[in-house]
Amino acid sequence: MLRFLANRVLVAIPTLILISIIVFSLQQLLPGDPALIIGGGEASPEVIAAIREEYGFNDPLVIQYFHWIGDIFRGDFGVSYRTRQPIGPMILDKIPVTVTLGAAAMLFSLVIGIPLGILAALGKGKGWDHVVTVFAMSGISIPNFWLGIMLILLFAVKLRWLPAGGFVPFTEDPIGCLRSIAMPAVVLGTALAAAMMRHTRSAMLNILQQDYVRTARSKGLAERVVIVRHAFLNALVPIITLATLQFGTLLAGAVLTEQVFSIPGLGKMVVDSVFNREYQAVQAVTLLSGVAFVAMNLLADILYFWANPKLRANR
Amino acid sequence: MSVSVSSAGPGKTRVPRPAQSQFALTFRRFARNRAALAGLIIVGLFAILAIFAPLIAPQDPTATDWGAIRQSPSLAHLFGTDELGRDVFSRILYGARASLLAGFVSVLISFGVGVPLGMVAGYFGGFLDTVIMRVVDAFLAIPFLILAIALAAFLGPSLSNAMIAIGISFAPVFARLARAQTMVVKVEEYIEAARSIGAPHSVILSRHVFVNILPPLLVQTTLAIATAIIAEAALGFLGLGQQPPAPSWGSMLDNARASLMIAPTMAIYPGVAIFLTVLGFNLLGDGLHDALDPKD
Amino acid sequence: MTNALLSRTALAAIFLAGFSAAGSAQDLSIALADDPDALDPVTNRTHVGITVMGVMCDGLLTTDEDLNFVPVLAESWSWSDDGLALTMNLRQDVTFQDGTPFNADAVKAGLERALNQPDSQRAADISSISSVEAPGEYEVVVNVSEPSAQLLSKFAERVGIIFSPTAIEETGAADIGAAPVCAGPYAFDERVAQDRIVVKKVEDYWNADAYAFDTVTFRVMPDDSVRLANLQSGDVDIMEKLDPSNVDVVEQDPNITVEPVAVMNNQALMYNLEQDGPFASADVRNAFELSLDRNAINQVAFGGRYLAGNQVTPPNSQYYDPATPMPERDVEGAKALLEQAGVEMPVEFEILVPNRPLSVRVAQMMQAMSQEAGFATELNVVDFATTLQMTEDGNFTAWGPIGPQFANDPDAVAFQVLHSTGSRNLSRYYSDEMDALLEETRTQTDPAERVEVFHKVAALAAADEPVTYLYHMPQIYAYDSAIEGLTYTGDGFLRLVDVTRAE
Repeated sequence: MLRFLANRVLVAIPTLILISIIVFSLQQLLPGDPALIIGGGEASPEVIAAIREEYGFNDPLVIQYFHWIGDIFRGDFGVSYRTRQPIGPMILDKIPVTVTLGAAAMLFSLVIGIPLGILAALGKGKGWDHVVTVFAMSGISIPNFWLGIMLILLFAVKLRWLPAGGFVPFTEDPIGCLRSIAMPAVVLGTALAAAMMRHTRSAMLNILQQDYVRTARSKGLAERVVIVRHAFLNALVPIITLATLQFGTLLAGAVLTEQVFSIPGLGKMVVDSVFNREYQAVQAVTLLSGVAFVAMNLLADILYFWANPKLRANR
Repeated sequence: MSVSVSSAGPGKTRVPRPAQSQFALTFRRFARNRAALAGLIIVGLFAILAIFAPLIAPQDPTATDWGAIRQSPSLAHLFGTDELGRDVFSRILYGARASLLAGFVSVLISFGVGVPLGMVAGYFGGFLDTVIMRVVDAFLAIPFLILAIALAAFLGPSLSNAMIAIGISFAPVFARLARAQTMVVKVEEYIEAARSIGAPHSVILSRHVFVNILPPLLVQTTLAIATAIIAEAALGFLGLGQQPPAPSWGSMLDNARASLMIAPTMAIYPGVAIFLTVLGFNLLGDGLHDALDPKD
Repeated sequence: MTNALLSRTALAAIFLAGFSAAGSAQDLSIALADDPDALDPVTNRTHVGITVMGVMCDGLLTTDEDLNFVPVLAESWSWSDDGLALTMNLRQDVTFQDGTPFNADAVKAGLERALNQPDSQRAADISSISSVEAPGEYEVVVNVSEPSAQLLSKFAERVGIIFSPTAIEETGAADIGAAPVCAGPYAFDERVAQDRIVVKKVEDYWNADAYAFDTVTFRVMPDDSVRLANLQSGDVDIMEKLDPSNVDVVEQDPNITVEPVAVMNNQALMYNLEQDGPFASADVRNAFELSLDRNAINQVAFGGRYLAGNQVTPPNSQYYDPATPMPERDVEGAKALLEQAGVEMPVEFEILVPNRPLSVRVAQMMQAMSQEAGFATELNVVDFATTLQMTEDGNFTAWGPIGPQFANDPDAVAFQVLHSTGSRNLSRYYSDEMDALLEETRTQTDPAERVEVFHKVAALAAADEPVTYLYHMPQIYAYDSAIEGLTYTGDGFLRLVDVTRAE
């Protein structure tokens, strides 16, 4: 186990370094002088010079990179030139928001996706299967920002049941939090639920054909017991793996969902930072999302390894 | 090209006999799949609407009419008018052009960048493979849309930059798939045969490997177009795609959102258009996948 | 099983927390349309930044809704006979929010910071100040190099907000904007970037009884419909910048009060006079102006809730020159002017448009209108920050709609845009005649005479047309009808003194 883990971590390191280089290089795509853009129209030449100094734009690229990555290792993501707030704590403020939203979306997708997936697998080729398939296909194809607008139109503008946007932290007002997050979670979770349905369906179909399930059936075990104890528990492994791997999709989806519902999370921070020309913040969030993705992959590997007795025996 | 003529030999071994019936089989399986056919029809329909938009559209999509802003659907304006009195139906038709163009061009970029890299990595293996795949992994680790937004933002907002951003962000997916398929194909007998008669790597890669990994790549291409269309709409929605007054579905949705209180129907049409087009490509891709690989 | 247990515990927690949250202290929440920049009067560049600082901080003086000066921290002031020294007497019972006493030394330090800090955005506004003295503990003398009719208006704005010298010492002038400490009813509590700023009541504030709310929470909601929906659902009490096209709908709602506050501002199209091409000719620029129907722009883009205008100040202002009325749209006249200028038709034209929905809407209308008069107008829609850089670099033909959002004196909207040394003179308009007039508006201390000079400025600007003024935007607030007693400064900012919530 330890060797497996060590191996995985070792493999992840060059990926992490490359991610940091990619993210750093984004800055080079900027047309024009970044100091001028950060300073805005009213900045005097002295201010521009000060910005250039503060951000180290005068140094060679390689030095700039090492400064940047060195600062990040010390937890220093830079300071927003607009608000003078440090970017690190700014991100820390946003993480719980996006995690709350992501967790709610994940929960929604599991609650909807897994039962429907099982239902479809059990009735393969019959009515339910078709309904679920259509559902899943639509869920994957619907643009989530549009779904968001439609839900706002119905539940906020017409019926006035739910707030049209904004976010209430759970610790401040739990009911307000649930109200503020209900629509965004559904919007963010829909594509995920669809993926979950399809995945559960094929995982279940795969396992229902396995020998041990057939044996269990032939032994005369009740169908429910077979399905729950043997089939589903075994299908759970690939499902959990998928759930972990959907992390990136979730984060990307959060960008639009948070934008539509004005939720102050990481996704909205990326978009706001883009429009405020806070390039350090854009880089910081992009870098973090890449690192988090690698970490989640590692977690998925470990989960898969741990949940799969056959793999464990082989090592 | 001259290279391939001089080594016509291996070209003949390229298509083994069973492939013919394989194709027929695939086609028959596809034709029997009603969902896939529906997808094909939807995609075809939108393609026709996009191509013939100037003929079909009742009005110039940028023609304004101050006297008729935010009107509900009527015979004169099938889908009503927007906040500047422009005909929403005509804008949807022209928006189809932007969306389909973005879908095809950005996937073309992904394909053009990703597939050669993946094939080279899979074919030669070794250090080259390690380097390419590490870079691919690094790109894949950054969530697709965040990378696309960051790229589009740093490049500057426009439809062509959005296509480049989406294309680059999606290229790693093609690289990874091309590599995996190449590794399967490269140990096949006909490749070994071509190599044994001394065909250069470039010929083997382009004439043998590429042709044989094309089917799974086509499935991926179809699905990627669906993703690219959503991504383009998303960038347009955020103001990082097609710039006004030219219509795109994403920016139309963004505009409609501002008028949600007074003209709610404006937000419906562009969304339905995106949804249907993406659904069409997804159904098509799924159908192709099932037809090529009917295990499931 | 564990799951069921977990969810039950969670539910219990929800209810407990829900009850305990009830009956908490009174909060007033205000929805802002933008995320403010640094909360520092010296470096501030955003309108919303002033909204927040205006609630937190008292200035030396302020303006009432008719733009008369009202004393706040400066109880009284007087000019010397030669107009070269301004003496201000300060309130004596004031401390900064960190306990530091508010006195003449603090004011002197604050004004000197605005003058001398390298990244000060205010230095140009008060460049006429030659020195600041503190002859008594509560007496400040400001010496100016020439009579300065505009100076008091600056003291009624950001320059007049003084920060605690102790806090600046401790935090550093560069970072004070992240933890502001001033003298005023509400002290900075916390800020979550792009989300909220919370300020809490200062209990020992000299006029604490007049402020009913324990905390004020500013919530950042850039999306117009989200801001409005949150007001309608009662999640916020006050919102700024209601989309003018929504006013008709919102006025139907009995629970919401809509209040448009007239502000001396303008939105305009700025031409790059240094660029070669047809638009270097004033005739062509005047032709473009004639092709526009400003009233139609106001009707279509803003539901008729803004004010069409052709001068630097709104038509209802005393500074508006009645001898230069707004021209009617005249397509034939425009074509004739173009012919007279001898340019090739259609005249190629590109407008650089900031990527904001309403700006884009207006630009599209100008595009359509001008096309009918012989212009081939293209739009280049770019995000706002980039337009700032492009115009700074001179990389544009025309830029707009753009303009100052607020002013408490016409100097703020005219001088920096039209004077050859002005920081916002991105038209590159260099006219000796205009410079002389604008300088006279500053040295002319007789109010009636000064109005006349501004009329001349408006007439000259209309003839040279370095800028086409389009419309004026009232600041449209909407708030829960239970909120009572809201008043506004002359430049359209909220005043929370004596504001209460009816039960």
